[in-house]
Amino acid sequence: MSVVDISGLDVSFRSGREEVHVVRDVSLTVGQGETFGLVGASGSGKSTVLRIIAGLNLDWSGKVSLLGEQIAPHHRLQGELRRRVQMVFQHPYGSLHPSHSIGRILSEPLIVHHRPNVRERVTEALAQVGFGPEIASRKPHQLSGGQRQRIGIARALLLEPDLLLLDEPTSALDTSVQAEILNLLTIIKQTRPITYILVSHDRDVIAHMCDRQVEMRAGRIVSET
Amino acid sequence: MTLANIEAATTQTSASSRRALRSVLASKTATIGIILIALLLLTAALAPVLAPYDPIAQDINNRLLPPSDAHWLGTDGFGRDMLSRIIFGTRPSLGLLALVIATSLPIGLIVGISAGFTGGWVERVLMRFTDIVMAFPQLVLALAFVAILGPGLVNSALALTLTGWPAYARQARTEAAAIRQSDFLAAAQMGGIRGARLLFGHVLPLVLPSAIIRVALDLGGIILAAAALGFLGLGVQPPTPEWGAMVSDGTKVIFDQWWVAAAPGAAILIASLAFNLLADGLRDILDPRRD
Amino acid sequence: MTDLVGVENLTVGFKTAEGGRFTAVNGLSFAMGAEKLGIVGESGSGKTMTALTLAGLAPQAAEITADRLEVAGEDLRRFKARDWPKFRGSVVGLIMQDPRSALNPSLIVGRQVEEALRFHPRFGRSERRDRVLSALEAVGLPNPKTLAGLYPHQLSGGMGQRVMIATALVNEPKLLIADEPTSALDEALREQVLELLVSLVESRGMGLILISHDLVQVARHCDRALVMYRGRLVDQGRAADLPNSTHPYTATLWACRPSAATHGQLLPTLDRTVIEASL
Repeated sequence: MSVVDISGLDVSFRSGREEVHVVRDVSLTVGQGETFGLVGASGSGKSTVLRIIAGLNLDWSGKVSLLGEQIAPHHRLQGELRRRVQMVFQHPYGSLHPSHSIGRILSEPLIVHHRPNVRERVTEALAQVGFGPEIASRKPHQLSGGQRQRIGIARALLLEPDLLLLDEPTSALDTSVQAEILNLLTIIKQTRPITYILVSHDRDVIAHMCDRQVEMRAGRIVSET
Repeated sequence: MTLANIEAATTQTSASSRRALRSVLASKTATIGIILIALLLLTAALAPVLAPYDPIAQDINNRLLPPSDAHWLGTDGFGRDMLSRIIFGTRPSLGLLALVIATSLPIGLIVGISAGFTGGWVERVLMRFTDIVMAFPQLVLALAFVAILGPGLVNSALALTLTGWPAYARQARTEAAAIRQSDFLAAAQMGGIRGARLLFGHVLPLVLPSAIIRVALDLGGIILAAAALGFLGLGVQPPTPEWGAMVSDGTKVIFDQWWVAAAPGAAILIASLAFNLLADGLRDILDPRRD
Repeated sequence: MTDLVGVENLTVGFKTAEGGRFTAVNGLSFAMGAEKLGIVGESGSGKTMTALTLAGLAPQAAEITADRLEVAGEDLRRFKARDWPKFRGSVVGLIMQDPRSALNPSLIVGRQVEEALRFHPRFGRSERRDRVLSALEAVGLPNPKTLAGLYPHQLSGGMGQRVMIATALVNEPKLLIADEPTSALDEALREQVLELLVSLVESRGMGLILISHDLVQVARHCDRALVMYRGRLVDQGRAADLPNSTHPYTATLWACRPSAATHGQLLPTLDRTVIEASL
């Protein structure tokens, strides 16, 4: 069964009188348990495709099905589907609420989903990304970029998603810290059945992580390997 | 979270608020403002203790006395002690101020955050309505409201609220719109957080600080607007002492017994100045272009 | 032989808001001639602060001490604020990370490059113009005459960075400092811009300090390399020998880069306790 099945995806918006096409006729499928790469330069449309899969960009046309469920444009992802698709963002600082503690950032999604044993789950998730429970009282600005990105990964994993979207998760980090984050993602994949879609401009990162990849240029898929 | 963690977290916040207080006290204007405001609050709280006379007790034999040892600020046209009336006059002024802020800030924030965060037609409708209210001169609109509602403390507070919230709404809208596209809000939504929980738990904390500065800048103006309503006889009704109404009483005898108008006028000046000093100091501290 | 750059025991520190002290550069010593020197390290290693200090652009709050701090025979420790602009114009050229934020958006390209010549009043107007055009030509920009009349937002990232290089070179400085000159560019452009930079430096007999987090880039284009960690110099040697360094920090930085060859494997990571212990 395919986790993501996209055909004929189009995204455009009006800028003054012109119609700007960001994504043109993109079709792709991602299978269960794959690590799938979307590579391309800035402005190629790769992040737009990812944000559509994430349910963050609702303005598109075409056919998209996630985890076997057909989704419609202009509709938010609801219920279980919303939980099963999670994302790690590019900018480690911008993706954590600046005035919330790490503990709140991690526990709030669990509380909203009425999960039991919130405290134990948060401690366990922190341990998985290499932190002790005492980090829960810290604020994001007290952490380094790599630490913040690990918190972002812990947050995404806490809801036990089946599909994890990775939007340039290491491009803002040093190579040495990038290695730690990529290793963490590799280890997580070995311990649970999960599908990754990784977006990056860095061919080496894609080649290291991905089983299969497509390259995007000017809104189209230009090659598939 | 273990107890030790909670303790560490609270020490951290108290350390940062102590730092904030220290930087406020480093500003001379803010310090003077804070001292004056503290004195005003103390006066209002201890008015019955501080006032040498009953502020509404009339004494026809001692009308319009000049300042003396017995009556430091003289007496008014009904022989009431001016100092006692000014001391008790802090109560309606500060009370009205508190009422206006406690109502107009939440209204402005709710309208502004909903508009800025939601966008689309919700934003257009809310902001056009805000613009319409804002297009009227504030005091004239407040006068019209009081004329309809009838005079009194609560009604004049209501009038100032109805005309005061649009400024907060506009500012909150701008700030909420600026963070609408942020990744941390996208992440919160992906975590299933939405509705009121998202608006008040995630958007509000980032919009609130600048709204508070804005309120501080408005406080002096609200004191003046309240006094203006009192002066026109639309505020607190006699015999309760109110500064604006006292100035109005004093104007009848201003050439012969000037202190009757000057004393409450000075009180209005000091109160409004105190809040302006604090606001200026706060703005200096928080303005990034400072150094 | 006198060194082009001589630095001994350079320390750059800051007071932190909490009342502590943060040391960005800690006892750094190095000397260089007219060669290509790469400074590598993670972010926060002090490499950028070293470059800014040599150009007099360290933040006002920085407390700078050194036993020796010389560029082209000038003692930078004695410099007053008004000495720096002329020094930056004529002795040291600087290329920053992001061309879009380093260029003034309201000035046409020709004026910006010409700005750099303002400390050479002996040039007449036509000679200044010739120099600007030949500088733009030297960095491989087509149609320098048309280009000189464009505004920065009309240029692509690669063109903007070439204009920055032209601005830095128009005075023929003795030392060029380039701080991550290609990190804002797309991958395909990086090599191109760097090759241009290196060939210009070589043909003019200048010194180059290349600040970079990219060890491969430094190994490929520089003569010598300094490796910094937390403000300290931990390793140095020939740039071409970077892949063979036995220092645990350098070796890991080199080996931790992902590629198709590492697919499915775990990457080596820094053992910071070992590195801290070796300091």
